[in-house]
Amino acid sequence: MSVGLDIGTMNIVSARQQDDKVHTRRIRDAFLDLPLHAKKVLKLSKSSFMQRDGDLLLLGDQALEMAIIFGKEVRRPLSQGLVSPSEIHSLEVLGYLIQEVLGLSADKETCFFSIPAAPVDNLSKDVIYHKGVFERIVTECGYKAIASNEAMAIIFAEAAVEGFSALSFSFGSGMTNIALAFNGIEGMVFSVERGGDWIDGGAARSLGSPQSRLCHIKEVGIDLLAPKNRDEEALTFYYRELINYVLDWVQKEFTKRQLYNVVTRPVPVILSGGTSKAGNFVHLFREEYEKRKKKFSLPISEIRAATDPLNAVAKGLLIQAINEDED
Amino acid sequence: MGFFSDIFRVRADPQRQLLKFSARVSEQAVFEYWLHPKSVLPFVQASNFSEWQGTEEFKGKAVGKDATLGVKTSEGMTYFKMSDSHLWVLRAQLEAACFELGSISETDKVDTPSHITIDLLYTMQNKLQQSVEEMMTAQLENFSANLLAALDTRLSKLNVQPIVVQKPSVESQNISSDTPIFIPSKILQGGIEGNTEIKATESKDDISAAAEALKQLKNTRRKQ
Repeated sequence: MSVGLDIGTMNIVSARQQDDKVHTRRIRDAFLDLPLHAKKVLKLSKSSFMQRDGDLLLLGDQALEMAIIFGKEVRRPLSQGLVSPSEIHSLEVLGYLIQEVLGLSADKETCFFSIPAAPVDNLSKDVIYHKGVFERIVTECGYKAIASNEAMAIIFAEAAVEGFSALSFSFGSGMTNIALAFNGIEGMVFSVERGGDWIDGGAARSLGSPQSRLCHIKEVGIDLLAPKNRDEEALTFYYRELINYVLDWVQKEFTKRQLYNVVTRPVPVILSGGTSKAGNFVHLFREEYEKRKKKFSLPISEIRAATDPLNAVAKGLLIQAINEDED
Repeated sequence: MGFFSDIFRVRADPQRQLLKFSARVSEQAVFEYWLHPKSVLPFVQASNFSEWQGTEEFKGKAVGKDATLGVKTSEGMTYFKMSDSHLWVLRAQLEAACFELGSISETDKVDTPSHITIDLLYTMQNKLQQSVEEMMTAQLENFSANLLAALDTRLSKLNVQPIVVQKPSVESQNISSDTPIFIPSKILQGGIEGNTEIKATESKDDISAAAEALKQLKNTRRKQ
């Protein structure tokens, strides 16, 4: 059976096709240190945790909730979209979480897993180690591991009607991935080191508040066109900045790669990823795009949100995995 | 008529028993006078030039650091402007020349005042330093010219290969895909106890159509 695995800074999602349905499994990609004596309470409350030697780590959504309660910053095995080198537990935690989400395979199933593109705004970073680590983890889980770009996966999941021609944005926590494809052929893929965490961090710094709190406010629900208080105003400000930043880079990369002759008809813009789930994000994006429409080189037919922003990448990877198995 | 001069020369002519006094007044003009020793003796023997000292034919006076020398010619008095140090230098030169002609004896010599001696020493030192500097500059320039000429000759004999300067590209700093990177093995370790709450969802199959479309696209591409 084929499987798609989206490995993000905030969530790890797997997708499988079964009984005419698509099944997704998701876990929050975050953890928090707890004292060992808390283990009994965690077991009773059926919380997600892992214990190895003397370390007790609270996992998933509860880690984020506890961090907010105690005013602490939650720990992440991924940082800015890539394996975090500063987290000593990152590989073990990632291995454990992926194993839980994916399950072990006995018959070498095909697993397409997501990798980001190298960031264009930080040329010192690459995705080679990141890709190698997940290839190893997925292989150790018993799968045939194939890496695929996460923004391209969105195009496979959401732009079949347009013949897989689209400009997709995967607004993740650690980074934003961008892909342009025309008739299923990859025109450009790149990422920028700004995403949901950058929004939270910027707003948190300007308000003198923990980043976890701002993340929580964002996820509870915020209307970007009608912010209700200073927290929401700050978040909206950084959302707008992020949109302008990625549009600047799209214009720059499209021009640099001279794709004028490749894209012969207008393509849709598809917005996906957890960060794009904020209320009226699509409208805010349209507003910012309209301001620069005349100078924007890439012809755009429409701007729309992905039908399932949290699972679009995993579904796109699943489509590729199915396609691979059928070949 | 007054001239500003800083170069005097006095020479004794024993045969004629006369003194030849030369004064350079410009780069192109030198005045020369033949003087009788007697006419310069009062000047030579003066120990103070605050007033005119000398004779009607040859006399000098110093006011502060400025001095004037008067020489009687067929056209009347000619005056030379100079510093008091130069006046004292001239006096010393004339004294030496008079001594050479036997017009004055060793005992007739008048000591030069000490502050004048110091001034004279400084003047001479400066002159010497200037001369040495000029000489050294000339020699160094000559050496430099010779060195450059020798260098040109040698360089012309060399077969120089063109240097290709490669501009460092940002891409070249990135790790290329064939750069070995250590990826730890056995990331999935045993001995981990835990419990995880996975959020599972199921939705209607909205991917079959996309998978079919992708298959068609690939087949079309293969046929082409």
